Formats: sequence, structure tokens, C-alpha cells
Amino acid sequence: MTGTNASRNRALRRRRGRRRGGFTLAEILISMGVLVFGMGMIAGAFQAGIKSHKTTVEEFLRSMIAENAIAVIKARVDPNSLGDTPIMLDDTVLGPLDKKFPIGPDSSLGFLLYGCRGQNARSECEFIVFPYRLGGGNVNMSFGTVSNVAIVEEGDVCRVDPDTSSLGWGKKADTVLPIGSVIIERNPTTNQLSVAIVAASPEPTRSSVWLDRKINAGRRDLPVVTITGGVVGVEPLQVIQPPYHARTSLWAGE
Amino acid sequence: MTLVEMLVSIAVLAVMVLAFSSIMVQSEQFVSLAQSSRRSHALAAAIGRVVRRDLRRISQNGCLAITRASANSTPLLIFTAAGATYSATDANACGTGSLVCYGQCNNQGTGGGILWRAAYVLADNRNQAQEKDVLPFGMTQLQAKTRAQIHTSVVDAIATLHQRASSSLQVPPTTLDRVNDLWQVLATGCSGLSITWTDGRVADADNPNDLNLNWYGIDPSPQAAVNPRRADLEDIEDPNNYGGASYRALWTNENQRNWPRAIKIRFRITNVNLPVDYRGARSMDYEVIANIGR
Repeated sequence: MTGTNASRNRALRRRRGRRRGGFTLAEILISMGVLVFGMGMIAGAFQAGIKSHKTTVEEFLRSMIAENAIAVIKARVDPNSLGDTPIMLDDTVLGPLDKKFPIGPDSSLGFLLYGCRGQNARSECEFIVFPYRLGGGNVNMSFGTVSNVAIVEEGDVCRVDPDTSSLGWGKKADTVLPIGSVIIERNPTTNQLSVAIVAASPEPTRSSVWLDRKINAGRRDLPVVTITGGVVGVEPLQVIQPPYHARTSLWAGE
Repeated sequence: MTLVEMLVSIAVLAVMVLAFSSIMVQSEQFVSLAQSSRRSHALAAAIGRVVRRDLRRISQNGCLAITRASANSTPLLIFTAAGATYSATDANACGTGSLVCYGQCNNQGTGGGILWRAAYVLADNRNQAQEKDVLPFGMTQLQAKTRAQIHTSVVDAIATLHQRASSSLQVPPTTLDRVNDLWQVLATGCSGLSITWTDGRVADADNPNDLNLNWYGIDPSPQAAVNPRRADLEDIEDPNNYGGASYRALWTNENQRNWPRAIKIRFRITNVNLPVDYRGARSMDYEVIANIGR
């Protein structure tokens, strides 16, 4: 009996000794988990780099598109084609190729333009340029307007209540959106995508107000871009934020 | 630990290492591409700033020309800019204006193209031959020249200087003389230069589907809507130069009302680390549109 106990104790000691010399599967899996967590953190740092790169490129594109856009506007837009009420400048004011960079049908970079006459001088006009990048696929755009948009709050962040029932979408609920935000909706009947851009006044205290305050208290129009085509899963239109606000004098009428 | 446990843990570790190395490789490729495209964008932005600054200073008391020497040569943009100008090569030379020239030259060093920008000082009362970036006449003498004289004594002379630069510019330079020529280099790795102008008219005012701006000038790009010749532009575009398949549009102070409203400069930046574009080349196209004098 004593001999049996002694041999059992020796076996236990051997087993304990062996356990002290190595790791169990559970220990290794835990350490691997810690390692995976660390690797994940390192990989996550690249995300910040990618985001930073995206911001830099977009800032460059925004600046390049906006500066070219203002030059094209100065060369082409007749201030007499603009009214006191800001309007989305369609293809009758600026040709479709004029709004793409590099100018050409295949370019995915371009701008949408909202403009009106200024209050101070005859030839002075104001514009908001929305530089954009189109998503993949063949995309065609046309312009329209959503009427009776209730602007609940003005300023850099405005609360809009667009009545899109005229486009067959039904009425949207109140939404808080910053200037330049894009509302993308799909028409269930025609399957076309429509894009509305929030373009409330960056300077609500001025007398000439974007999206005309004069229509009636707080009710304005939202420009709508109807997009056909594109690739499933790719955002059809990405407005490069923030939009570019310019006040400039034009050639015609001078 | 049994052998099976050991093998399982090694297999898991191997999968993790493979996944992580794959992430690292892809990240490295992305960082490399991002650096190249950022460098290319930064260069284009810098070129755009210089071009806009120069065109804003343009003086209609002088001249503006878009030309090229022969059918296959690259375009040249030549214009007078107002304001006090100091020489980059002669500490004692200064003037009340400059003759700014843009073009594309061959890089005699590593090959490829150089975006050539030469700002020649219009030095009043300097009665000596043209030297480096100082011309032997001033703004006053330039204003007194007729259109025909500007054709020959200014535009042709600058075209000759451009040809000389194209055969001598070298980046990186290998001799002291080449170092002294670097004041003419705006950027390297640039090619596909096109220079066009617009007077604000549309391509076809009667066609509501063709209301794009009409751009005239030298643009080899097949995408652009360029109409290089119009009958009523003969006071601007020189018909004699069309005979040799060349191009020359010249504006002078004789008629300051027909000057263009905007100039478009398109160029291509090539970098071996950029992604391959639709032409199969590692390059990016840029476009700078700037108004005249604004």
C-alpha cells in the first residue's frame, strides 16, 4: 500500500514537473489571442493613414476643381442669365463638358453649381460650387428641383424637410443635415437614383441668401440631380466636402 | 502539451502570420501608391499656383502668344506680366515687367519632359545683348512695337530660346553650366503639354445640346472639344503659320478687347510608382484653367 502511494506520488511529481516546463493549449491560445489583438491594433493604424490620405487627396481635388470652375464661370457665365433667386445652373448655362475636369466625356470629376446675382454690384455674382466624383459605371446626370423644402434651421447645419412627393418618393421625415450633404433616393417605379444636395446659406444674416429666403419664410427649393446608370454597391455621386463658396465679378455687362 | 496540440497551435500561428503579412504587404503597396499620387498631386498644385499667379499678373499693354515652331513641336505660351521683376541670374538687373514663357523641353539628363518656365526681365535702359533671363529691351520698348515686330522680334526670338533650352536643360545637372540653367525648370516628369484659349463663346450657340465652351489652340488630346480655327479669328490666329501646320495666336496692345478670357493648360505627370492608367502608362493628367488678368 505504502509502495503504491509512493509510486503514485512520484508519478504526480513527474507530471507536475512536466507541466512546469511547458505551456498548455489554453495558455498558447490565450497568448495567440493577445498577439492577434496586437496585430489588429497595428493593422488598425493603417486605417488612420488611409483616411488621412483620402482627406489629402479630396482637399487637393476640391481646390483644383473649384479654382478651375471659377475660371470657367468667369469665362462663360453671363450675369444676365442669373436672377436674384439662386438657381442650380443647368446645361443651358454651362455646357456639360465645361463642368468636368479634365474636360472630356470620360472624366469622373466635375462640379455642380448654384448661383445668383450679388446685391452690391451689377456684375458681381455669388456661387456655391459642389465638386464631385462619380462612382463606377456609365452615369448620366440631369438636373431638377425639389420644391417646398422647409428649412427649419439655418446655418452650417440646417434641418431640412424636403417634400419629395413630386418625384414619387413620398415625404421624408425631418432630417438634420450639414450644408453639402447628399440625399440619395431610388425611385421605386423607374429605379433611377435622385440626389438632392443641401445648400442652405453659409451666411444666413446677409441680405442675399442662398436658396432664397424671399420665397416665403423658410420654404425653399433643393437642387436635385437625377442619376441613371452606375454600378451596384458604388455610391453614384460623392460630393467632395465642404462646398466652395465664391463671390466674383463676371465679364458680361462690364 | 501533446504533439497534436503543438501542431494545432503552430497551424493557427502560421495562419495568423500569413494573414498579418498579407495585410502588411497590401498596406505597403497602398502607402507606396498613396505617396506617389500625393507627390504628383502636390506637384500639380504647385504648378497650378505658379500658372495662376503669372496669368493674374498679365499685362495687356504687352502681348500674349500661343504658338509652336513646327507641326510636331510642343506648344509655347508667351505673355507679358506687369510689376517689378528681379533677375534670377543677375543681381543688378531688374525691370518693370517680365516676359513669361511656358513650354515643354526634353530632359537631357534622365529623359522625359521638363515643364519650362522662363521669366525674362524686361530691363529698361539696358543697352546690351540678351543675357540669361534679362532681355535687352524694357516694357516701354515692347509697347512701342507693332504686331508684326512682336511676331518676329519677340515670339520668334522666344521660340529660338525655347529650342536652345530644350537641347541643354539637364536634371539632375552634371556640369556647372547646367546648374546655371536650372532657373528655367518648373517641374520634371511632365509631358503632354497642351495650351488652349477661349473667348467665352460656345461651340454652337444655335444648338442647345452643344453649349460647351469652345477652346482654340494646340491640344493633341483626342478627348477635348477643340476647334483650332475660325474665320473671324484671323486678327488673332495667324493664317501664315497654318501653312506649315504650325499654330500661332497673338494678342497685342493694338486691340485689347479681343484678348481671351481664360487659358487652359493641360499636362501629364509621370511617375513609375503611380498605378497604370487607361493608356497603360503610369501617369496622371491635370488641367489648370486660369482667367487672364483676374
